[in-house]
Amino acid sequence: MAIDLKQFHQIFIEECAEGLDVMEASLMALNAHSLDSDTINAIFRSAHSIKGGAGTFGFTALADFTHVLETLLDEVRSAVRSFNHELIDLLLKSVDCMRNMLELIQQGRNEYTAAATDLKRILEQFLAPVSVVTPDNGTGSGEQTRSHDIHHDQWLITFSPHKHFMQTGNDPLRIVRELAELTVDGSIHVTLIDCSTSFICYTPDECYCTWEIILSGANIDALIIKKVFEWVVNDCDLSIKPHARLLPQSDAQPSIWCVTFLPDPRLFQTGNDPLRIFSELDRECELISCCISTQKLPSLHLMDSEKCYLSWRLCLAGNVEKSVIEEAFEWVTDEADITIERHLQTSEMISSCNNHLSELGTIDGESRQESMVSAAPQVGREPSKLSSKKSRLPEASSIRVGTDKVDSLIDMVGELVITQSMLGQLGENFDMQHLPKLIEGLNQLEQNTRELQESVMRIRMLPMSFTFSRFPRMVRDLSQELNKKIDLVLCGESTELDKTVMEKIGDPLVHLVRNSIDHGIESPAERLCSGKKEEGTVTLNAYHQGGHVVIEVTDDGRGLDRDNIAKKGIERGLLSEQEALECTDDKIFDLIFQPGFSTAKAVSALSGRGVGMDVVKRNIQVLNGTIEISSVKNEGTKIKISLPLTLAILDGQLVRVGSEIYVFPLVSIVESIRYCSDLVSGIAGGFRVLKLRDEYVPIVELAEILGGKKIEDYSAALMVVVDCDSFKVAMVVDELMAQQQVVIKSLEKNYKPIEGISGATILGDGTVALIIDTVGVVKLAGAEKLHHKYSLCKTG
Amino acid sequence: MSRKVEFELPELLTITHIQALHEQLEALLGDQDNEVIVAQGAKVGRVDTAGLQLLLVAKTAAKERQIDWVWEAPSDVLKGGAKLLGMTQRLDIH
Repeated sequence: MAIDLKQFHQIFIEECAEGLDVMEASLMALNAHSLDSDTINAIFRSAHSIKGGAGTFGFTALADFTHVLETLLDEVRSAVRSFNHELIDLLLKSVDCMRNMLELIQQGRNEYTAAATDLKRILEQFLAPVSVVTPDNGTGSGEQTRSHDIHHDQWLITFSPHKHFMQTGNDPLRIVRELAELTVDGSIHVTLIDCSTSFICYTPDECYCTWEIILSGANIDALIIKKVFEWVVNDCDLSIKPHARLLPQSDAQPSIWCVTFLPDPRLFQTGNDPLRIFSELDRECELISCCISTQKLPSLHLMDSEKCYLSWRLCLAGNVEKSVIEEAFEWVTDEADITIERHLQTSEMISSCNNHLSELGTIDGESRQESMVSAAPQVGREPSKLSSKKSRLPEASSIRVGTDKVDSLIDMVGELVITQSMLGQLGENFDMQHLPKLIEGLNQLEQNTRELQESVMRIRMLPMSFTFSRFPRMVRDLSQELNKKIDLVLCGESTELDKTVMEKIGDPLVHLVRNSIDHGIESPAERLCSGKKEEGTVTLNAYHQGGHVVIEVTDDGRGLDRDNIAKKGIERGLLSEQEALECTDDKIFDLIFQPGFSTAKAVSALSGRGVGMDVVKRNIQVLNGTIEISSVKNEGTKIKISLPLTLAILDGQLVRVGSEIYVFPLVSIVESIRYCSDLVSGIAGGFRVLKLRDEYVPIVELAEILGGKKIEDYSAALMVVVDCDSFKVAMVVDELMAQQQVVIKSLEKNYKPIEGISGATILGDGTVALIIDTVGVVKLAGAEKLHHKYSLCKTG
Repeated sequence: MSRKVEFELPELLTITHIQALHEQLEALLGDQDNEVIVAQGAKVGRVDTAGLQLLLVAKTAAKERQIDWVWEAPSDVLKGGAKLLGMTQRLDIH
């Protein structure tokens, strides 16, 4: 009987993802100068298992790609091939490609991605038989790899002389001249990419510059170039790469990327803006067409100007990787359906497509859009729908659980069975003299149930290393990109957190670490000038504190500039000059969480557009967490995130509104006060505000908003003051009841989503209580608009 | 007699500032005496999608109500935003 192998596909995909994680982590741990055979063997074993599995299940594309990679790794582990940083880069890129191919497999597509095709060609070039074998020149560098003998038309050289370079009698100018002499039939293009020093720290005989040199010529190989640097190799940082590798399209033609962007109506409310995303894309590549669909636009009267009713199809041209496009959409993956497809084009096709698009202009028309898409060749189409977990593939649909946790569960169930059997026996011949025994049994049952619940909850807990493991690679890539030296320190990797919380905290953490590297850590020269060590440190630390998990992102960089932030805040009308003087540092630093707030003078590819920190804060608030920021100028910044251990259980405050019981998340409550009519004033539009010490707070009639009867007698009413993002709101309730932990049941799964309600719970007496979504209720009540419209602020 | 109404778009045509504009446009388009609306866009210094979306809906509503919508000196920021979002043709803003 034939076995249906499809049933094992998901397991294979998960194991592959784990194997790729192992490969990446091991490659990151490798030292090119002293090769650790255990590590290289671990990488080889992972590749070998992936190849074997892919072959077994008929995923030939992945199997073929991994075969080439495996051959290369085999040569490295058997010392036939020397190992260097260039090869590590290549292998890391291979891991990325394999992840993308795995993503295709998950969609049922046994295909190469365009990047994988290019990379496989480069790997095969590494492995190609040599025409001339260059003997080791005795420099001990061991760089007689066959790749040197491959002639490329273009080479990219990154040349960063050490500070003392010129003191040793060497001169970068001489080196560049020698390189120019190599290019008899080609050209040299030199770009100064860094010259970081301040005038005060400047010493004339020290070198502070880094150059990028593109060398073109038919007969140039890596060995010839290395000879030019032969005498200075220990006095500089040097990288020599075939330039074609930077342009994955073998014919160096730009690609056409087609992006379909269907945002959720709530997109604007999350602080995101398609215009910003498209501007970003327009900077990275050429936005050759933007077709808008306006089918869902309502009438002016019915329109909610804070909702997005539009969708787009974009065509972009340029030599950019898919990741660049994905990055532009990074923060909206949860609020939009996004597909990105690549079409490899010849120049004629691009030109024809451009003509076609210019005819189309910007007219919205589905049929014409379709004709444009079908005109593009369907070669090398790459996936696919963006997922919010793009960096860890695939989305984990199962959890590996330690056998100790399973054993503990089995023990619990054993105890439960014993208690049940005891109670059963009591029930058969029950009389009143057995009452104490019955009470004891019921207590035992309660304890067993509680322990069982705790054990099951523990199964959902994953170590922080699950999220932290992505950062070494990210920091490595970013530090190379930004020419900064960064040491990443990970602490508390074994701290456990609920799987759902863990999955949702990854992206905000990525943003914070990027910010630290881009804005926090200074360039090596700047750090030396400030008396710091050249290498900056970014620390990720996780630990338990009072029923919460705390994650800290700390850097020893330049810190936040209080004055600059306050100045921007005043310019944007977020605070007055007087308030800026009186506010604590924490209050001023909190301004960076305002939408669109940025003090960066220049926008970089990583950050600086003032987009992100507000989204980070919102994402953490969605998890019922908090975020705090502390910073000391020139010493560094610490961002502290506090998260609940699980999203399944909530610390709640029970309240009665009319005859209904509702639950407020305890974390959102600032205080509760008795209703006092002297403190309440009416304003235009029938709204009322509460004078709470030195500020006015909008009042929300919870009963009215949730469809109940408005309170008539306020003498016994209470007001629950909640924190809603940047301002407070007072919600009127009839009675404050107990505080207790409640188990959250999803309304979306069991009923349908309701605005203003985040979930439901079952109380001890079996009744259902709805859990208040404070932000949603405030929006429903229009209190947010009220706050902005009347600029409710401090009365002083 | 045809009535021409001029109205000035705000400097900040962004989500946090368009509520008043929405109300203003509703009033302008709700007035049956208005036959031509001249949108003065010279001062617009910042736009976002929500702001441009509102103009798109208003322009469509004007067309439905047979009110002419005329642009007067739209700023580069306004035109640039419309272009990036693929709205140039629909807004007829050049």
